[in-house]
Amino acid sequence: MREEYLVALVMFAVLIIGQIVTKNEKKWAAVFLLLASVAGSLAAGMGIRFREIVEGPFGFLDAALSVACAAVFTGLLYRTGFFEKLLKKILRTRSAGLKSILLLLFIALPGMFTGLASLSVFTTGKLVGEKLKAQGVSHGKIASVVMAGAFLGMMLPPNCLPAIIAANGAGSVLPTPYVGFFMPLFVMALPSLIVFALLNRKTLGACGKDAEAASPADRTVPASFGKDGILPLPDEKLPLFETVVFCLVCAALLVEGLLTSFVYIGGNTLWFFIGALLLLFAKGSGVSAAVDSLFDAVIPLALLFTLGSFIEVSSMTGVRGIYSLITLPQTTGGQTTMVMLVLMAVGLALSFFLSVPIPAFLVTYAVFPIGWLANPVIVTGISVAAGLAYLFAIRGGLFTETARTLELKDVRWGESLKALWLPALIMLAIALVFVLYGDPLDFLIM
Amino acid sequence: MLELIYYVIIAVMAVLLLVNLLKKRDWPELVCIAVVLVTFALRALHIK
Repeated sequence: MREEYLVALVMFAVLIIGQIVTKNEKKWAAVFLLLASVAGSLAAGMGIRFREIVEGPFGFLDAALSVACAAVFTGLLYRTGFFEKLLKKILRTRSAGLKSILLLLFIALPGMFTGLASLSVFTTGKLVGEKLKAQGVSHGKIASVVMAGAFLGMMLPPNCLPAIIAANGAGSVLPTPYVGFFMPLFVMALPSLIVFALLNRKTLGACGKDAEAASPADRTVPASFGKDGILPLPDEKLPLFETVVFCLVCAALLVEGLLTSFVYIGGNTLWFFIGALLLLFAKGSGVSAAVDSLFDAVIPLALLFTLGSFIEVSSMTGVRGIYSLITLPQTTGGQTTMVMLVLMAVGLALSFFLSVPIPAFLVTYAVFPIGWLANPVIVTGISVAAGLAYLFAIRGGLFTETARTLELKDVRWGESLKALWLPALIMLAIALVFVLYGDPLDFLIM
Repeated sequence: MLELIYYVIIAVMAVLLLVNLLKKRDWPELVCIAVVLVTFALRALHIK
């Protein structure tokens, strides 16, 4: 047996044993990815190679910086109470269909900014979850709504962690910029958002109509208001300063995303940073809030960086070389696509029990054969496997995060995922079209 | 100018991470903070 196979075996064994022992606990995933990288370099007889272990994360650094700034910006919006007031505004929408879409977009918002589904769960998901809980909606239903919003937020632009991971696979030695993904991500995730919102319009459309349970003192308009005799929430104005900052950042992100090829206004990182700096002057904000906000993103960022070390050590020890030896002679036509599809399928199959790290690694390896000329449309399609891996994981994935944060009791993985299969399948179908016909669809890269 | 802003942003994030590291947390969380901090700090110091 070649030495490289043994190295790969040691690296995966350390990772899998770690995940089993810690029951896929997210905070341990980064620790075991790091240990697996060290074990890999030791097994290859190279000692502990600090250079490669530290250099690996640099491939993700610029994208991670944008995620970190976005996490601070989003956390400050949550801690200053802006999201709560925005939710009250959305809950006043009359049309059930529109309200449903707006609510799902609201849950998705922090995920869209940061690329992290967990940020949506911690902030907007928690707010909507509490409203639904107060109305007596079943915990399984609450979990599926929050999970859907968080997952779709992660997959929607501007930031998308799975796409950031996949983009790194296109670069390897030379870090590939996470650029040109805005429209492919948008086109891929939007249909699922609309379908889920419309299928759940009954639950989401009724969200906030809990005023019946509110005390009479809270009532500002007659109880007869509204067709169904249900009292709407009292109107509360959005704070001007936070609203202006929020709109300014959103406008800048849209210009950056849609007109990347024509306009340069500093990049997403700069705008999130400016937004966060300005929000420090808002009421209820402060350096302490910024510190806590950044901590919300630390575990996923650590996972991203240690994945970088894992990939770098796999390249250093020749594991990637063997992989290239097997795949590169077949990089003609449909065979490359077949390699990608097989790795996506294996990643998805493993995700049920092993959560994200191994599927994320396989996603970067799926992109390797198309190299640094990888079309962002194809890369976006492949990245869906890593996104769905987080959604489908029985332990240590989005379900665990949601149930724990919202303190949902007696909620089952299967029950919560039941409403999510259709949006997930729609997204997977679009992703497969992107992988198979990515080149003719390159007009989506703006 | 943009380069300077880039280093300012990364230095600010590194400082926020350092403050996080000084708080009482589980040790796997401290490892996670350290992993991110080391990368950010090395870049802020222009070391690769």
